[in-house]
Amino acid sequence: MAISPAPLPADRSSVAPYHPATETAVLIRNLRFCWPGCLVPAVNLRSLELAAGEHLFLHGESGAGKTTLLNLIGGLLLAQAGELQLFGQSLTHLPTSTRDALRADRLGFVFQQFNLLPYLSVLDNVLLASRFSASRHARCIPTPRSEAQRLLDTLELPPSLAARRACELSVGQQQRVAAARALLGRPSLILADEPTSSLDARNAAQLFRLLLDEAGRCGAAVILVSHDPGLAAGFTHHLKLPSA
Amino acid sequence: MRAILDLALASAWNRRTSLALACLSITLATALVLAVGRMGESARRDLSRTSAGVDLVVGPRGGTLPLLLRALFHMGEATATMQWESHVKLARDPRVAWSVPLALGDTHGGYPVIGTTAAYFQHMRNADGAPLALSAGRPFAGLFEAVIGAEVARRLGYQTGTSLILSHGSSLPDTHDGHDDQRTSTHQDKPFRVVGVLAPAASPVDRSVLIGLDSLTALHLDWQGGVPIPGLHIPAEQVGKFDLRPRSLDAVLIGLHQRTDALRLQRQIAEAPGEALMAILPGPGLDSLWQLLGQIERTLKALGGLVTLVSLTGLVAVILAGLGERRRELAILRAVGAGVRHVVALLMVEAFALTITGLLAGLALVEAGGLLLTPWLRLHYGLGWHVGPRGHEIALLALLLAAGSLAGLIPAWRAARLSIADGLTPRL
Ligand SMILES: Nc1ncnc2c1ncn2[C@@H]1O[C@H](COP(=O)(O)OP(=O)(O)OP(=O)(O)O)[C@@H](O)[C@H]1O
Ligand SMILES: [Mg+2]
Repeated sequence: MAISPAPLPADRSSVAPYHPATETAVLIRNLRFCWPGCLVPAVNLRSLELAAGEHLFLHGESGAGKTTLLNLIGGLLLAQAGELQLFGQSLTHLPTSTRDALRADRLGFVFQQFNLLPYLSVLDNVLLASRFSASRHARCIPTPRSEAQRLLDTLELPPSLAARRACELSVGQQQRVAAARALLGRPSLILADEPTSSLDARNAAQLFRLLLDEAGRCGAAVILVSHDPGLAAGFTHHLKLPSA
Repeated sequence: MRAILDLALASAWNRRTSLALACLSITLATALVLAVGRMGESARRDLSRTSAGVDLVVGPRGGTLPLLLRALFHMGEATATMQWESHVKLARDPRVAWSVPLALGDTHGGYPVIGTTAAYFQHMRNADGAPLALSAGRPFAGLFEAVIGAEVARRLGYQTGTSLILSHGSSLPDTHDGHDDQRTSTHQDKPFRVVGVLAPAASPVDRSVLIGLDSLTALHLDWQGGVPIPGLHIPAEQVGKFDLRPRSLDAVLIGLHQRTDALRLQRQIAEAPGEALMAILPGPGLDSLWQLLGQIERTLKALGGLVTLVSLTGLVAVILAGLGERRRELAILRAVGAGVRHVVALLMVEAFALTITGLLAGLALVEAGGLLLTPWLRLHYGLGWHVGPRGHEIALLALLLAAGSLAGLIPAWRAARLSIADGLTPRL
């Protein structure tokens, strides 16, 4: 684990050679991303390394680029410069279809805006994670449906809600559905963007604990974004993004 | 694939109102294209059937087209006439099965009056090839009896028993208002009685008044050169005392025992000594007439093409408008692992299903219209179309289906090009 925000993107000679010990979940070198039309990069990160199963607490002021960084790691955005590897594969050099397959197989996203499909039932929203990957589907034991139900149970969503349409849930309930979707099918990397922002302190702490427990069960690496300094204590690794 | 179908269904159900509207617009456009095409075809067919059963049209020597227009469509001015005796001679030819003499010139309410014989009702056919039928009454038999076409009856509100006054002079096919022109004077002293009304035939007979040749002669006993002879007046009761054989004819329609004799008889008539006559084959004549009207057909085709284009544009517009609505949805799917090919499949399945539903519904609409509406349309407007798809229509539908499905590719291409994160950001 090595983290250092890059003050000077030009400083490339100081990049340390990379020697994998265990499987590396995320590896970043001199990553730079600018939104179209913006001169100041939204993300400018010299180095980040996260081994499989490790948990990282990502924080920083609003607008510091936390969501943008997670989108880069998840392959939802492509960086203009620098190196970004997921499980040893360089994301920038993968063909789109392979990147999509990698995301379907190994990633779990909890979006800041949940991103549930409003017209699907709660259960179907959770099951979406297993729809596009055979191996993810196969890792749901015994079946994706029962696994989804177990996760919803664990996250203390009443079983009566499973058949409801996602748009009929309270915001806090939607957040837990989004978390269940990210956890389905034993992902190797969970990217959680303020997963507890809409919950009261008790529920937030509980969701947070469950998220980490489940991640631990499947040996997933976790990158969690939060403004709540109280949660940081549970993490071994921390990264603060400087404000732009 | 199963997952894609489930998703496509759930998503479509969520947008069912806008999709139903899109489908409806495809349905209506398809129905319009097909109906316009079929109406053009049926107009052409009706035209070609105006001469059904007639093997030769004989008339005074002159232009082919004027004779055809006069004999089959009762239009135009006679520049020359033929003698009644020539018809008698023709009718005696052993190759001739039947002959129908025609004398034109008078009008009623702008509709042409045709002087003919009862043979007309036996041998003329309607646009469907069936013999002419009367919807009321009987054919004319005595003097001053008239049979009117379906449109005449409907437009002028006549029925059997109605009495009518004929006008002497040129027929004015455009003025159906019943008012007489300056150039015409009326046969007020010899009114006719409607004894029969023809069923709609979708042919020029719908717009005609049929009377016996003897009545026509009787009408003009005291006329000469288009005006009443001054000081001479023969009352209707006394016309029976005169020779009522027609003085002249405009044309004779001929049916042969064997159609193969037509060409030889045609040449014989053209070369015969005595009165200068000619005979024409109506089929080729009508074809050249249709070519003359080719502008109409081209207009119809261009119209059909435009309608097709508009419906395709509408389809693409509907799908593109849907893309704005679906930007976030597709990005969410990509974010949970759907590949570009999944998104493409999702959009294509929907575009295909939408298009094919619209096309089939449009086809069904036109077929139902052909079955239910056409009888009424034919009766009132002489329009209509056939039932059952034709080869070129299937090809057109296939083209529309391909275009509709491909239209689904445009949003798919856009969805694939945009970064996923872009799609996820809600547009405020
Ligand atoms: N779609 C976009 N287009 C252009 N600029 C963007 C877009 N999304 C974010 N930005 C810019 O990128 C910067 C980083 O945004 P980001 O959403 O990553 O911040 P954040 O750290 O997640 O903030 P918060 O804690 O409020 O969620 C901001 O300055 C923002 O204005
Ligand atoms: Mg954010």
